[in-house]
Amino acid sequence: MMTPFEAYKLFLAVKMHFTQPNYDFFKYNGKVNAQLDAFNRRRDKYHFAKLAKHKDALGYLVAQYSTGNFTGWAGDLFTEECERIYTQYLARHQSITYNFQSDLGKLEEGFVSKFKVKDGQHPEALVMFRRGNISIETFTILNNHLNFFQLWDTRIDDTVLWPSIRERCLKYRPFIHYDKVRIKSIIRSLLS
Amino acid sequence: MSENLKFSKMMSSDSFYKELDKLVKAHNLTYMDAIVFYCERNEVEIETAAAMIKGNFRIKSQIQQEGELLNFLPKTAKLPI
Repeated sequence: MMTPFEAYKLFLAVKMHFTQPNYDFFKYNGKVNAQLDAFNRRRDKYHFAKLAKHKDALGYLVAQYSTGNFTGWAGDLFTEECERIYTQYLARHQSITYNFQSDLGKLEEGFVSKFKVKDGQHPEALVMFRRGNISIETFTILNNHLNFFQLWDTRIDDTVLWPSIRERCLKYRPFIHYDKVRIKSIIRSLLS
Repeated sequence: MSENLKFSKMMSSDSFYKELDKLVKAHNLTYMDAIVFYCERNEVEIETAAAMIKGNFRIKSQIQQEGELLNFLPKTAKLPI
């Protein structure tokens, strides 16, 4: 069982992972500089006590930050919307290969052309991701194997939306666990 | 030294990228060559430019692509685009 202070440290570590380019949750093993005195002076300890009781506190926090819409305030952690986001996150993670296959079905027709950047505009695959037609897991796994972010970095002119989406996907990548061999064979069969 | 300080204060990594882009297009250079050329022409130390490159994922990606083409870096998967 986690203490509220440990939950606070976990909260800070996940927050830093998703918001600061130089902090990596896995590299630093979730360690942050936090003082117990400072924590005891906080008025929102209640929220961290609640987070400490959660059965999957890390997953819950990652689910919130992976949406890109989380405010970063601990008081917003246990709203109905956040619970819904976590349920969806769990559903996606429990059937990651199935979701990947069904998302690829949406990209199947003219697969390669959907990743082409025309005149510096967002490619179709990115537009589909932004619309919510493709999940962040599918998008990130695809990039993990096809490495198209590197190409988009050099060709997309947008300096506001694309960098934030890119950063979110790259930061989320280590939290996704999947069967690499199976996913690779699915991608191979699609490309051949 | 003062020139380098001035350079890092005056330039954002985005404007540095734009400068490099102009050089690449005007002189038909690679990004790696363009960085060295820029540093020589403006008397900026290459280490100062490195700090700029670190902060800009666009320049990093360009250099990575060139590095992979020249076998300086291990090749990664690519879509046939």
